[in-house]
Amino acid sequence: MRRLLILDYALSSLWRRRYKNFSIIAVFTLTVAVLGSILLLTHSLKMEASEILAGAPDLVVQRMSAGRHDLIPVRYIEEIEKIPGVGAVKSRCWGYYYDALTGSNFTLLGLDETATHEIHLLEGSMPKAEGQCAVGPGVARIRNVKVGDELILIDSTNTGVVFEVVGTFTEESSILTNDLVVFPKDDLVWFFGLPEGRATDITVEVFNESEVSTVAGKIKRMYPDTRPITRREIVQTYDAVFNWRSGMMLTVFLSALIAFSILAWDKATGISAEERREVGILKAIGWDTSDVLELKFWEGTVISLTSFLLGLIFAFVHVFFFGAPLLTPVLKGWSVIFPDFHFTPYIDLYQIAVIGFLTVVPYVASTVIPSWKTAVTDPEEVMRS
Amino acid sequence: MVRHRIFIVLTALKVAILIGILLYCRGHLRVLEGSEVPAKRALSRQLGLTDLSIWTEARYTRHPSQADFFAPFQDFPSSLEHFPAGSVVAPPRFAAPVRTEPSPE
Amino acid sequence: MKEPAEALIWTEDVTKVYNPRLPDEVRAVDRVSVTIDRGDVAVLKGPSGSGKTSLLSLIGCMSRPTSGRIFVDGRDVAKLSESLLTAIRRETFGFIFQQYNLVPDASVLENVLLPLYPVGLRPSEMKQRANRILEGLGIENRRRLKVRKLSGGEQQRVAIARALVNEPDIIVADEPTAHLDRQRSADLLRVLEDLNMQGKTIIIATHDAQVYDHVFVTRTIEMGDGRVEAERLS
Ligand SMILES: Nc1ncnc2c1ncn2[C@@H]1O[C@H](COP(=O)(O)OP(=O)(O)OP(=O)(O)O)[C@@H](O)[C@H]1O
Ligand SMILES: [Mg+2]
Repeated sequence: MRRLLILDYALSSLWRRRYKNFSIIAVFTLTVAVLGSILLLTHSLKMEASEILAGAPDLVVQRMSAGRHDLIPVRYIEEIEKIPGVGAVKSRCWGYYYDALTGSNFTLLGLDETATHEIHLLEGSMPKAEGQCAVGPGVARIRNVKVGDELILIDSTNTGVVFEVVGTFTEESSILTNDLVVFPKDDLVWFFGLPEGRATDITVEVFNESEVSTVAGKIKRMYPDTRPITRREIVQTYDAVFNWRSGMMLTVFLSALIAFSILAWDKATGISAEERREVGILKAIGWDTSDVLELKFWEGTVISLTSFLLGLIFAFVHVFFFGAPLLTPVLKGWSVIFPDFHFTPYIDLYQIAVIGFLTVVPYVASTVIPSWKTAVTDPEEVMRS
Repeated sequence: MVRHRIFIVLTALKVAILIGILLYCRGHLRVLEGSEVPAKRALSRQLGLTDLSIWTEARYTRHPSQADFFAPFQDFPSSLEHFPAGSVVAPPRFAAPVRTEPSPE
Repeated sequence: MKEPAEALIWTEDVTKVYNPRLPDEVRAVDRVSVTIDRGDVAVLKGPSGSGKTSLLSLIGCMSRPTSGRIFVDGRDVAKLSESLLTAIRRETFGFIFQQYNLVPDASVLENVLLPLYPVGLRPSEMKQRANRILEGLGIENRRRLKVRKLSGGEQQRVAIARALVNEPDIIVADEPTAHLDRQRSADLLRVLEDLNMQGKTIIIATHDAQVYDHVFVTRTIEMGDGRVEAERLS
């Protein structure tokens, strides 16, 4: 009962300074919302990457030449296939295309005839014959094409080439396919004018997961000009990419945090004369030091808990229901084609607990600690004020 | 003396909303894990896709995992560069030393 | 001199030194020994700076003496822990401060309830008590108003109501008439007289003749320069 009464008094004393306190709650909520959004978003993307890219090739072998990625001779395949434990070894042909019309970059991918043609998340069909292509949703949007339309691309001899769009990948797949244009492999080789016997890179299937790095080492020794990339490295890259400690996100995160710390600092150092006097009065009329500290504890808890919960709700709604419209511009950078995110709600409860801990606890501390000194002094002072 | 009740009710309400959102997200995730996620994984396997199509402004942002490891200039993943998306892309930390030096048998 | 246990308040050689061993050392209370009995109306009188407020705060358990002993209701308060001292302050004393010391932005009712929060009564009982006292002082219709909006006399009554809400045995008032005109002072004295009739002990620090010459005063303690210069019963 006593505890609830003191909570009650804390609420009324907060209400007395409601303009100040509501602005603190607003800023605090915003901080939590920004912080929460960043963490939810990056975690979701990180999980998405590791879940989806589990389908990536076990090993990708690139060729390096003069410090750059170069086309790889297809004949390497024969030797690689002989390594024990290795399954299918295939050449991949793909490349980039700058679309001067829209100022955007596409990824052009040549598909093997051997590739499965029953494909999910596709409207229409995969290109089977010469002159056909399938496009990602971003390409379809920016070039305004749909199944049955024509897509004109400029080839390496500066000639316009007409392709028929026979399939479009669905929006749900946009995180993988947004900027893709898929052709039959021969079309791509011809379009880019790739030299005979060369491919962009080689994918290697390794039966036993634990042998991947051994195989990679063998390939590297066999062909010192190559660079094998394992699937684990691919997934690790995305871990690093979305690591919440890195880059722009951290900047946003930090500035929010700094703004908030300034606020908290201001509160911590600026226990007002009015508040000090109130504490003195309370002590003089029979509040114990612990009662006063409890009052301050409740004041801090009410504000920070309210803000934390509100901020978290905003963050969830913002990221998972609206696709983080306030953060995607930060992510987007200079990309012209950018996917419409539908974040898969992977949620890390531990991360949420950390946000809670990092916001609520310091705030409560910064309310309680500065009033400590006032609370322990003799109340005699108020008799002379 | 009803203030603390209002506060407790409001707080409980917020917690309930949060739990509701969490449960909804969980359910939605289950559904996606049963349909969309495997479909995307299959797509990645069928097309041999190694990267997410998020940033389309440069080679190393479109395919960060395939970025040239040795290229010293713009393509070097940790270079100071001028594409904003690069600021969210940390240089890949490769664990296996296989690409830098061939280990003796 | 009486035994400590018999008197309500009993002090022996109480001394309060501010800033001891510093150049600005002040001996605000100097070896004061006084006795106040249950039912007394005691007046501390003396010029400004003579140590009235300092002595009141020692008696009221708001500060600790530098040396000497103070007994309140038979207990040696100089030896009590901080929280017991607070408990005595809460249960035995009702304070009426010179500046009222109300929380200006809180309502009248809230101000009166302040001393009850740490007690842990039921809210309905708290309200009942406060309302009864506000009615007795004739300001129950101001209950919901902010203290800031009240007149000086009304604020004083809120301060009195707050001093009474814990049903204390001793009312301590420091210059209660300093901000009041003659009429208001007379009203206040009537309230204090009523309280004394109800059995409360009253201690007033003042240099207002209207107070110390009042007939209800039973004990006058004259102070000068931190010492008791005269103690009279009437
Ligand atoms: N905290 C303090 N530090 C230093 N000196 C103090 C302190 N409090 C009071 N004093 C000094 O103690 C002396 C007695 O002060 P006190 O307030 O008890 O006098 P008073 O009789 O109540 O005067 P007044 O009638 O003006 O209220 C004064 O000289 C005052 O300056
Ligand atoms: Mg005084």
